[in-house]
Amino acid sequence: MNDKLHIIQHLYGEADASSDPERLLEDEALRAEYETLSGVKFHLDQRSKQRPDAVVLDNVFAAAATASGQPTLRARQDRKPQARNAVRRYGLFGTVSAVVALLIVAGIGLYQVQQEGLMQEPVASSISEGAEVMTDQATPLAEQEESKATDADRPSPIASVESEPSPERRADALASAPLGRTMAEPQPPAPMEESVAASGLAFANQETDAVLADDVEAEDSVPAWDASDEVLRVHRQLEMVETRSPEFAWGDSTVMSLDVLPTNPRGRDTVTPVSTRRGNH
Amino acid sequence: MHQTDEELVAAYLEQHDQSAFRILVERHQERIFGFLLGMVRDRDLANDLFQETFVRVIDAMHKRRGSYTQQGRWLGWVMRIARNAALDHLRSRKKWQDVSANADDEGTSYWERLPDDAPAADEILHRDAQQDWLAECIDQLPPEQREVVLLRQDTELTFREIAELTDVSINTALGRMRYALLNLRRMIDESKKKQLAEIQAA
Repeated sequence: MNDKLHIIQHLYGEADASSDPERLLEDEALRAEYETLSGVKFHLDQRSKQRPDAVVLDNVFAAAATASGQPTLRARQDRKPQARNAVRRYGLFGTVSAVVALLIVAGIGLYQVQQEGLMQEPVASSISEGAEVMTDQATPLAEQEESKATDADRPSPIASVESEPSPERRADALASAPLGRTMAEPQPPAPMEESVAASGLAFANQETDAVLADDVEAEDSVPAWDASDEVLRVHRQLEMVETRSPEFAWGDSTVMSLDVLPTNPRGRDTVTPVSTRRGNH
Repeated sequence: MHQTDEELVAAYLEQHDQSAFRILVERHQERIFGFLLGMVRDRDLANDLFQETFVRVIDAMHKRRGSYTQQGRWLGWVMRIARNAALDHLRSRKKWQDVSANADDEGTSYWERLPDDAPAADEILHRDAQQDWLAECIDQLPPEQREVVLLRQDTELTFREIAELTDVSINTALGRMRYALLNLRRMIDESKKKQLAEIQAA
């Protein structure tokens, strides 16, 4: 390497230790060239540094992130935030709506259950109260009847019912039995206390309150108007008519015309055809 | 704490540290872009070449293409890619003028072979920016001398690295630098003479 090239190395600070800068500067020509080149280098060092555009740098960083498999900041900025918030808001709205609907259904069901409980509670309480009252009333009557039977040295009421009753007792029993149970000889039903007292003979040994409650409920099912004497009178008349005209008994499927019926223009109890009514009037 | 280029490269490749790569680019962006801008003398084109250079660099660092051993100097490796990108562009535009290295070795400067219709120094002096004038002076240098000036002044590569990069001996790189400085000296002297002549004429 010649000395001129060593000057370049000295000028840029790359001269090795073996080179002697003082020896180079002793040469007049080399010294003049060194000063000339250092002046040019001074101008070159005054040049400003140039940088690439920011967009180019962003593209380079994005490419580096993509190559390493990492999401880029640029991609996050381009994402629309509305879509994510809308989905989250829609999901929250759906969840709240489902919870509200479930609460409404549960409330309605609980309300219905409570209403049914309130409606059943008075009936059950009345039944139990009635059963208790009837038990209290029936028990002394049964005791009284038992005491009477014991005093008269007679068989128990149940045995007397099952055995062949005497004519007097049979009449008393028929008179005291309810209407539905004695259709052969209809009798007006006794008042409730009397019927209970009479039936208490048959049910004296039934000590359970449930049976007594059912029996009282059956007695209560008889309408009040059915105990009137007028109804019994009408019932006897119907039976009498039924015995006199067996061909018109209930259940006959044959439909008879009015012409077949017996007619008597003089009597009032017979059926009068419509065609002859005008003539009579 | 200052991290070397190799440490930053390792952090980016092994730990996927994006900030490490960012530091690398920001640390050397002026050197790389200054070289590219001096080579093509067009800012938009220099931006495109800068981006193209780093696309190649990223691919090579992930061993998709080329090879980066992490044993050499990272900037010198990147500058080789940038130089190839610039030369590819210049060759495609047929602006690259091949000047033999023997001419420089023989002492024939490019300044002596400049055409007579070159821009006059007075026109350059009338420009507002002194740096633009100096940049144009560098642009008038032979490509080999201009390349060495840019690599040494802007990229701050050593002459040994420049020799390795340009695939020449270190003496050739030093000789090209010496002739480049002498040619620039003559340009400056001519501009001063023109300026003095104008003052005297006025």
